[in-house]
Amino acid sequence: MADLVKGLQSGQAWAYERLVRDYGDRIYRFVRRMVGNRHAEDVTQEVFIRVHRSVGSYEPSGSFDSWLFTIANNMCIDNMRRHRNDRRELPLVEAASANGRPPDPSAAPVDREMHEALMRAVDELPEDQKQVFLMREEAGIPFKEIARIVRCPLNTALGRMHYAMLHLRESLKAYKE
Amino acid sequence: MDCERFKEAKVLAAHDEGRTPELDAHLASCASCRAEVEEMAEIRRRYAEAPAEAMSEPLRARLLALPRRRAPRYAWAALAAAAVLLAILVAPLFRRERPAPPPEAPKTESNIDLTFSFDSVDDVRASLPEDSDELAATRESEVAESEVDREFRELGESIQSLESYW
Repeated sequence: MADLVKGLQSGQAWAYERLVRDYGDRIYRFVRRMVGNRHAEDVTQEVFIRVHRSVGSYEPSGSFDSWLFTIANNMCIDNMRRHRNDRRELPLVEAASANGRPPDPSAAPVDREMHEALMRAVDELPEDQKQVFLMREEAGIPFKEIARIVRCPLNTALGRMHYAMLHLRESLKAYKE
Repeated sequence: MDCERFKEAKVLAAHDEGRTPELDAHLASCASCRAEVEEMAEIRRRYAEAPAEAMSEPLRARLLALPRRRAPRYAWAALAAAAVLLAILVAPLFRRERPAPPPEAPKTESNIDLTFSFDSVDDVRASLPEDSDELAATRESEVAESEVDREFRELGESIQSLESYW
């Protein structure tokens, strides 16, 4: 990781390519779940522009992943504030196929339906719960870091995750019975 | 049962971020909380197993092209900054070359009028004292001048005589 950061800071082309290769899809998925399909590409691009511009001043006080997803999170929040009134859009299922990644053909129909229901439920989570859920499950950031990023006490972050899980559990209930 | 008290601890346990003996003791006696932790772990597993959405190839190409697109902008910005800096450094040099106009003497009634008016060179001579050093120097230069004139005249005459000879 340190060599990636050093490479980025010294403007090495290989480092930037590695950043896109290793983090591009994760950032895109995080952004897309946060802001929705319509703005996902623009916001993802803005995130990479910001990362490219700010990496010179990056100081490794936390993990690089936390720094990266903090930027992604902030840009998503900005975008959501700008488009708060026009955020109703494609359901995730449609968006997924529109995105060019076909559904897994090897998955059993029930499993596929459960995946789709789960993604839809994530999309419907309240903003603060979704933020914590995605940072933990998509970005793999520990709760202590998440609490620091979203500027709340650790127990608040854990409480949001707890409620998010309850909501998602409800959405899967129908498929388990 | 004080299940609510373990709300946060259950989340941590389901994410393998810590498990206290207190929680373990509670889970051993509470089937509902045990199920809850298991369900959270299952949701996590299902989310991780869901087909991962990848960004589109045009977006990937745009992201990879970002440094190349931004480099010229940086170059222009650096060039503009250098030009401004150069202008700031060089400007005082130009200002120094232009001499400042002499300060205008304030006109007061006590100022003496130093303007002179002469009609001819003779007036100038007449205005000078007869035996001053300056006048002597002027006369010497007049003599020196006339000697040069004479030499030129003699040279001209010799050229004329040569021309008539040929």
